[in-house]
Amino acid sequence: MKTIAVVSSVGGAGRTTLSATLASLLMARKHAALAVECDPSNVLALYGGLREPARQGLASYVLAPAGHVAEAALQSDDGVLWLPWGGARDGGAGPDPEQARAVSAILHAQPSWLRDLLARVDLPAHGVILVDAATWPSVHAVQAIEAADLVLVLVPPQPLACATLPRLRAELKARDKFSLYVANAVSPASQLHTDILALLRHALGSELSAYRIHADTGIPEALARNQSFHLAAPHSQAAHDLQGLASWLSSWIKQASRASAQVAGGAP
Amino acid sequence: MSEQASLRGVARIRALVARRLGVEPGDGMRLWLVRLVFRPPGPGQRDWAARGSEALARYLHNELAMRDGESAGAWLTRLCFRPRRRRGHLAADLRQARRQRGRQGRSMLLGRISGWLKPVYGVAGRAGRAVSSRLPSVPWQRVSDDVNQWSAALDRMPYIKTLILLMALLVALAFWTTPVPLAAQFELFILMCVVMAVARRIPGRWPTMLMVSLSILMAGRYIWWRTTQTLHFASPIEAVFGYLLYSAEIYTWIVLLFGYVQTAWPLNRHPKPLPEDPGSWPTVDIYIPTYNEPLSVVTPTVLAAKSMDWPRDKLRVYVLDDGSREAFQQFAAEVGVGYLTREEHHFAKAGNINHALRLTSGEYIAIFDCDHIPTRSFLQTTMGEFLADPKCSMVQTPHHFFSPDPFERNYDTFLRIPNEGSLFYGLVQDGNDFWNATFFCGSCAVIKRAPLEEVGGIAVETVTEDAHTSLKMHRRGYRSAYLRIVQAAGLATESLSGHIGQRIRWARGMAQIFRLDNPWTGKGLSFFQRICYSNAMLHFFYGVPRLVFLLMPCAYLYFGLHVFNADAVSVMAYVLPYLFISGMANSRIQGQYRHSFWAEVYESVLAWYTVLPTTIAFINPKKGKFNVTAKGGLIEREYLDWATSKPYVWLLAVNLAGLVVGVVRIFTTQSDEPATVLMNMVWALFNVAMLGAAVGVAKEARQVRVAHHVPLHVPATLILPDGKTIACHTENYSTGGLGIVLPAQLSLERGSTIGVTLSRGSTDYYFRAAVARHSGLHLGLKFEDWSYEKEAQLVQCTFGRADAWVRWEEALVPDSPLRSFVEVVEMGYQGVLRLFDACLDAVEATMLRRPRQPPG
Repeated sequence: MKTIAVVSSVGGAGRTTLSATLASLLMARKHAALAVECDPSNVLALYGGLREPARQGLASYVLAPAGHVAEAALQSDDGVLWLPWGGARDGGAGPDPEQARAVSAILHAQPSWLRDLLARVDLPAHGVILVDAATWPSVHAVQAIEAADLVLVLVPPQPLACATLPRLRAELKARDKFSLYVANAVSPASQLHTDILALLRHALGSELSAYRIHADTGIPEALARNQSFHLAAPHSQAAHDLQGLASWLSSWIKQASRASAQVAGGAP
Repeated sequence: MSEQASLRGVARIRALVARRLGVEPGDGMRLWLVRLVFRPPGPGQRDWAARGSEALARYLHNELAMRDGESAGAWLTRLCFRPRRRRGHLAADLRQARRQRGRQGRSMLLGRISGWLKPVYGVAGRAGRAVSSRLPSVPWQRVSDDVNQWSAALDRMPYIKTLILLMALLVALAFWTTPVPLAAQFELFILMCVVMAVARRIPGRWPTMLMVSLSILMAGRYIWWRTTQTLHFASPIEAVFGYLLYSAEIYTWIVLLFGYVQTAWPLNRHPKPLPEDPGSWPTVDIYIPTYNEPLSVVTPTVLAAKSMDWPRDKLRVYVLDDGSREAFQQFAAEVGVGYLTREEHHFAKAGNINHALRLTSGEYIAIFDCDHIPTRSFLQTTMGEFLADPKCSMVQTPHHFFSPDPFERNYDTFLRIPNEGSLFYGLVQDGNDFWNATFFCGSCAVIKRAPLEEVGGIAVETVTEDAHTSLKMHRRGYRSAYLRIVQAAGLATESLSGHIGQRIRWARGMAQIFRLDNPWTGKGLSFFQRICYSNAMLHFFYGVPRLVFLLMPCAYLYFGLHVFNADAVSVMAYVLPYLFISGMANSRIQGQYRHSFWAEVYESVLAWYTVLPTTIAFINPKKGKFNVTAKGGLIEREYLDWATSKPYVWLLAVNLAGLVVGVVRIFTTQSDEPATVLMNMVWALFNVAMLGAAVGVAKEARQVRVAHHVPLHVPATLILPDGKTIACHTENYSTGGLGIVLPAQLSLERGSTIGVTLSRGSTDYYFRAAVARHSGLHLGLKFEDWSYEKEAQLVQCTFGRADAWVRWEEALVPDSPLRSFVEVVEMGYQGVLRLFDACLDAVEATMLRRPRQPPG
């Protein structure tokens, strides 16, 4: 079982979309997939087909460690497990401010809380947990990074993303995390995007994934229609890109699992 | 007033009658007629009468080919007289037939029969697979490696190779000359066939060598028998024809033997790595000679050459314009490449290059024909060879064509059956490379300047300056190399006459070299280099022998001459094994690069035209003129190229008449030797098939698009006006336009602007384009704001890709002689039908004095 954290240093990079899509694409590639939301915005479950914000989730578990996380998890038609952030209350209200502060305090105090929790999840050997983290820097993103075997950094081709990227990269280097950078929402028609991509390629080298996800107006449309984008528009370039990225991740998961199994087998 | 009244009266009567009959006054004539006879149906009942009349009317419309709203007179006429019908064509439209048969790959002649036999095939195939899956598999790769090791170990021992070869020669001599009874000869044939059939199933090079050796043994036996037993002639005239046939055969034996030597061990060379530091890489000049080609043909080549992967300061591109055209000079200045032109136009392309040699200074010179578009990796692939071997003077890569040549187009064999050139670039040059005898082919090659200047630049004495130049360099002890990796691609000749013109030039040039600078005389060449060069030249002398073979059966059928003094049974005992075994050996060697019997078709087409040029050049090498290969033409309408096919029509007529005479002969004068007549008739029939195919090629199929509309398959991305993306593939490319195959139906308006993205490595290039045509899944785009910069980007993403042509060999199908034979015979049959159609067309055109419309 491997954990992949999806992070970015700017908002609106498409983390939740990507986490949800990759979860079902990896599920289709015979990896048992669990999508975990480590972000108080509490929107992940909407991608799984839920009509309103989730009440139960990771947050409720922080406050009541004795409770069963599995009770908060949801399952969609294709078999993907979803663990949203939770905390929504009646009348469309958000989480109780007191509780939110308490949750943040606990997460702040125990940086490896999420890692320990996910270590207890029993998924098959080639299973994968995708953690949709809040914008970095934040206590939620740090939890996700700490828990991850692979950090998937989303980089929209925007000046701000370039400006904040070196800091995130330094942090990941300091924590010695294996990371893959993916350019998201790239529009080839824009000269700015082309130039920033060239810049990223120069700066990141092989750490930048060959799969760049093209910008496609079909992605928000699919969410609005409550559809899976890669099933609704299978011929779109963006769906092709996502499939490519999922295949790459799938083979990475298999390799990494084999490697860690060998280490575990040779150690005793 | 009264007129109005009467009109009103008629209308009233009409309405009254209509009410009585139960029709509306506005109903058609047919319903009125029906109602006169049948009563209208009750409520809720079906109107059977009306329906029946409708069906009848439809049937009559169809049957009489009447349109709607024709007058009653027309109906009456048509009932009595048949309409003038267009005469149908007998020859099948191969393209359509193939599409209808789908991918089953069944032959057209045997289609129905193989349909019946399908269950038998299925059972046999399943049984065979079941048996072979139970049998233990032999690790052929390991066996072959072991054999390699043993032979290498043997090779290290002194004198052992000479000894073995001498012993082999002694055994072979004994084998060739031992006379045996006919029955034993047949047994030998069967034994050989069994060994060959087993050997051809084993992969690797050693079985190939075994097959070649067996073929040489059988050929030697045949030659010995032919020379000692069959050359007794009754009359001088028979002797003349007999020796003519014998010398034609001698030619084929020499070519067979030389061919075996030449292609025995293809080297399969791999590119050598370049040094890490690009600063140490040498300077390269790229020459793109042009004479009369349009700028649109030359532009992609220049742009692709300019963007090859090589240090910018060490790469210089020159357009060598022998036409001194203003537009070319402007173009060169605009894109920043050199432009060289000269005052006097001596020695065509060779002179053009030699002139440029004096004005430039690069250490190496890469030469591209103006329509051969190089890939970005061309130099990095080829240049390593020079740095690894300082004596290397030339590196050649294959000429690849992305459009079909006339044979492929007119017979629809493109990418299905290997073309004429694929044997040469797939096998012959690679085999030459083993003997260090690969020669320059005029394009897609790099030459080192120093050796080239040493031999006085490109040779100007002959019209095949390329081969002659490398012959000169080989004589000086330089080496050459061949890389069988397609690194450039171009347009094939468009029309048959152009194709033939090009082959005539090659044939003439090779004959000239044979006379002026014969590889067997002079210093500097190794024995095997001499064999390779002379085989390359001898190949083009096939004209006379081929014509002899095409006409010789008629010597017996018409005049009763016995040109081959042997009875039918011994001919079968000696000729068949020789042909059969050498055919199998050649099929094994040539494999996917040439299908059996296609060489005969290609040669039959060209034979007539190469006879005269080679003979003249052989007698007086200085005579004759240089002709430039025409490219970029357009065939708007199907037609039979009468001028080109005339000689074959005559040859075909002679052979067909021979068949008729044969039938007469077998029942009258020669009823005492029916086997001989039959054998000659079979020979003539084979000739008819070949000549039929040759004539059929002259029927030029219509080319739908202008020349530079080339097939091209690379992934692309569409960006629609609403911001959605589509992943798709390109289908073809023309200057300023792109054809796209969509994965699913789309609603797109003609003229709307969309974006299309192509990629080179990890970089996307974006082009704005307007929808020019859209039908089904096919989309035609026309680029907007087009410029040389954009075109350069497009070339880089398409033809310039390093992997643009890597998969060309995969498309080729391995040879299977039997199927190939059926296919050739089928082509011959279709060819005869095409000729028949064209004759009728011509007659009709002269009688009716108007050109025939193509069928709709």
